[in-house]
Amino acid sequence: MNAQQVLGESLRMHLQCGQFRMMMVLLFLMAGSLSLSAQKFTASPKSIDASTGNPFKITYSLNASDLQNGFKPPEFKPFRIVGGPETQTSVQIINGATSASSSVSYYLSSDKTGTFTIPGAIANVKGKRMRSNSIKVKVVKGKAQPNTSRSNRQNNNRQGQQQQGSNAATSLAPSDNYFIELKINEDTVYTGQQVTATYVLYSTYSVENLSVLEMPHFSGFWSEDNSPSRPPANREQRNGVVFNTHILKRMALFPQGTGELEIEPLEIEATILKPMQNGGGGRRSIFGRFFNQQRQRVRIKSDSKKIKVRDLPTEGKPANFSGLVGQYRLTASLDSLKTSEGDPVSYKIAISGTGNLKGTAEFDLSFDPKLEVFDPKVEVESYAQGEQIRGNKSFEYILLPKEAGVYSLPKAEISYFDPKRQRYFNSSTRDMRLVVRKGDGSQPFTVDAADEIAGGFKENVIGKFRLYEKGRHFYGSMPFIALLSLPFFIFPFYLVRHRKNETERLDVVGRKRRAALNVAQKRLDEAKGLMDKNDRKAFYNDVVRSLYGYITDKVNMPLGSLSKDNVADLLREKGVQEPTINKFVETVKYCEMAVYAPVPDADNLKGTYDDTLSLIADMEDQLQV
Amino acid sequence: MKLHFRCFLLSLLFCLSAIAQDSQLEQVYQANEHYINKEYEEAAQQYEQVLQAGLEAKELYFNLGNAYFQLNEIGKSILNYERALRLAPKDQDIQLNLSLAKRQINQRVDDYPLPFYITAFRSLVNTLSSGAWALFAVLCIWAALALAILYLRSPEVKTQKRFFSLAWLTLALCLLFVFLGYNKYYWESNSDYAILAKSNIKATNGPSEASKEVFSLSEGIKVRIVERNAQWCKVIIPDGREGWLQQNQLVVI
Repeated sequence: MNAQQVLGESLRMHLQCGQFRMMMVLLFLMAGSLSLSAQKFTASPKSIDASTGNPFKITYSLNASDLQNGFKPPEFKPFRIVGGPETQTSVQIINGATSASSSVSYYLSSDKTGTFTIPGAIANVKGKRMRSNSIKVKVVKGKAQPNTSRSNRQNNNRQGQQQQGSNAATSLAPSDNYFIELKINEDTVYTGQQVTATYVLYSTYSVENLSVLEMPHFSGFWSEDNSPSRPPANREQRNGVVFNTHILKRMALFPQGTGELEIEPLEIEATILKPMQNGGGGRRSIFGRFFNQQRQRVRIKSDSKKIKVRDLPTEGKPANFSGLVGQYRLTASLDSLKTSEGDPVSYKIAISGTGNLKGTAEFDLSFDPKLEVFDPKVEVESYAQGEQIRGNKSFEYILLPKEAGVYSLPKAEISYFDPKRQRYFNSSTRDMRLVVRKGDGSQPFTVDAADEIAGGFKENVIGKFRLYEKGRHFYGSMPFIALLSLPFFIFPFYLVRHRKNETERLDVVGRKRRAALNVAQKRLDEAKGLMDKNDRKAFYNDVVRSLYGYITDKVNMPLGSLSKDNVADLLREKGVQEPTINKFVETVKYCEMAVYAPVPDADNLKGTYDDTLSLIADMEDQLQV
Repeated sequence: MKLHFRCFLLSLLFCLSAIAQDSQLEQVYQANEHYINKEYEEAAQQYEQVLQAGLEAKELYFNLGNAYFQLNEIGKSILNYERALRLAPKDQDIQLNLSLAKRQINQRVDDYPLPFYITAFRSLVNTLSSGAWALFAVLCIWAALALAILYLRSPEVKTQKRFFSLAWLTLALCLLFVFLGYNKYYWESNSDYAILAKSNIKATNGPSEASKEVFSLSEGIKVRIVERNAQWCKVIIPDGREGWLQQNQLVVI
């Protein structure tokens, strides 16, 4: 049980750290680590957790040999110096280079509780003043230990011979002063979910020579030792008492079955160093000091714990689920995406994540038959990240392409149950393609091989097509320019015409004016028809209407606004000559009369018609509008 | 009179070119026969003759490229595929065969990436040939004219407004088509690119025999010509390096 002895040894050292009696001086170690560099003057440790009545040690070290000259310790108030100063000097010769180091140690004790700072010490090295760092000390109330006074100890030292305590192991019930506690992080888990079980030794005494009597079997679990390689030096306070704690074992357990599983207790045998009440015993240390303590071989057994293991939920369980519990990621990689014939590439699929990976089955991937595939190289690595076990498992396939082409590589898929999110998840690798070129010993590229690349070489000739003259383009040719610019010529022409039409269309007055003669003519034509029928009344009516209509059209006035009285003025205004005006008025008068009353020469319809025609012709000449 | 004469000349020209086309097409068919019978050398020769007669077609270049590919003359094959692509940049068969041919080059020169707006613009311009762009431009300008007339003639303000905006829109479209067509026309009629016709060409750092060699190139690599003089031209290879080559070492696409 070599490993257990090592464990015990390290434990012993740790537990003595706070104990005054042992005074194990590790100065040469410290000094050694400080050699070879520039001169350094340090105080260690930097901070201390102490309890009242339990002395602790502080050390000032310098990587030069002459610390004694010019060393000035600080004031240690409110601590009492219970031991020291001890000086240590070491000289090392490595490859002909000499390095020296020296240190001074003190043992201090305090009766007061609280946090204190010990200021730095001063050293004079080759005329240079150096100051060390300060030390922070936190003091809590400890168990009173009667024989820690300097005088008492010195008495004991003189007593000489060490007395061995009872060497027979006596099994003791977990006492108030030492016990092992089994801690688990969870008491209800899923199958395959990690449980961390930690066995912690609590003790107020120094403990040495530990050996494990009974190692738990962890049956029903797949277990992995996850003990910290260097147990941290811890102190823990329980019911006002400070214990030194030590992690004996930390296990990552993965339950394999379901139901209630028991985590078995751990039993160790150890020697505890109990302070003597009466100063009867003592032991000679390798440094020649004698201590007043009792050695006792004891067995300490932890309690056991039960955990409940649930089966994984059936709901949503994927078909390809193979029992992976945790959080995983699947990745695929090719060492090169392009290769040539006969040039191997490696296709690596890796699962990484939190959980137990050692049981994972291999993938069943079907590769293209034109790729020669060798059995995968499987690598499993698991490591602890804090209390969690993490792992990487990789499958490396070596692919040897036999023919050029583009191959899509098979995808790997896993499903796992994530106990934190209480759900199944799938993870698969992404699509990977491997392009294989012809090898370098190149025979001409065959169409067969080309066919396989991205759908194949289109080797068909195209039979029917038109030939074009080289360099003939519609763009930039004369027809193009003509067709493109023609609208720009057409549009202005159209615009001009349109504008003209529009003004004419909008000019109603002008149109009426221009049409006045025509309208009058038309009316007169009607009158002529009536004349032929000898309808006198209607004939004269029409003549009057045609005359008035002509005027109103010409000067743009409503028809009803004209009368015999105002028409003369109007015509005069528009520049019609007096004789014509008179003639107009006469004609109108005559016709109106002829409608209702017999007039002389009434039968001379022809004469009236001709007169009216000439009258309108005159007015057309003279009217200025 | 003068107009009549020109018409006559034009129709005569068309007749002549049609005759020429017939005999050239005959040659193309013969070449196709040779190709099908795997007489690639004869096929290539005949295709080349048709090209020398001043005629072209993307199919012709494609067939010729295939023939050279089968003869394992990768440089010429790439050249003809590139020329076919110039006429039909989006033809997938041509693109595929070109990429297959490029795999055969011993030397790989990776294209350096262009900014996205340039590739987007190129792809837009390449959607149609310059002729099609021109046709669209012409259609648009006439549509704009019609819409303008409708605008003038419409009696109602509402329809007037509609025709007015439509007329401007089509005019803008016409300008866009003219612009795109111009780019396309430029690419169709001028080429800054060339294919290396010989293997293992040494590019130098200056236009003379005595200049220092900067890099060597193998047959079939596409280069961009940035400067030329009587005998030499300065080229940029796709990965951005520059060098001088002799004119007879490359063929413009």
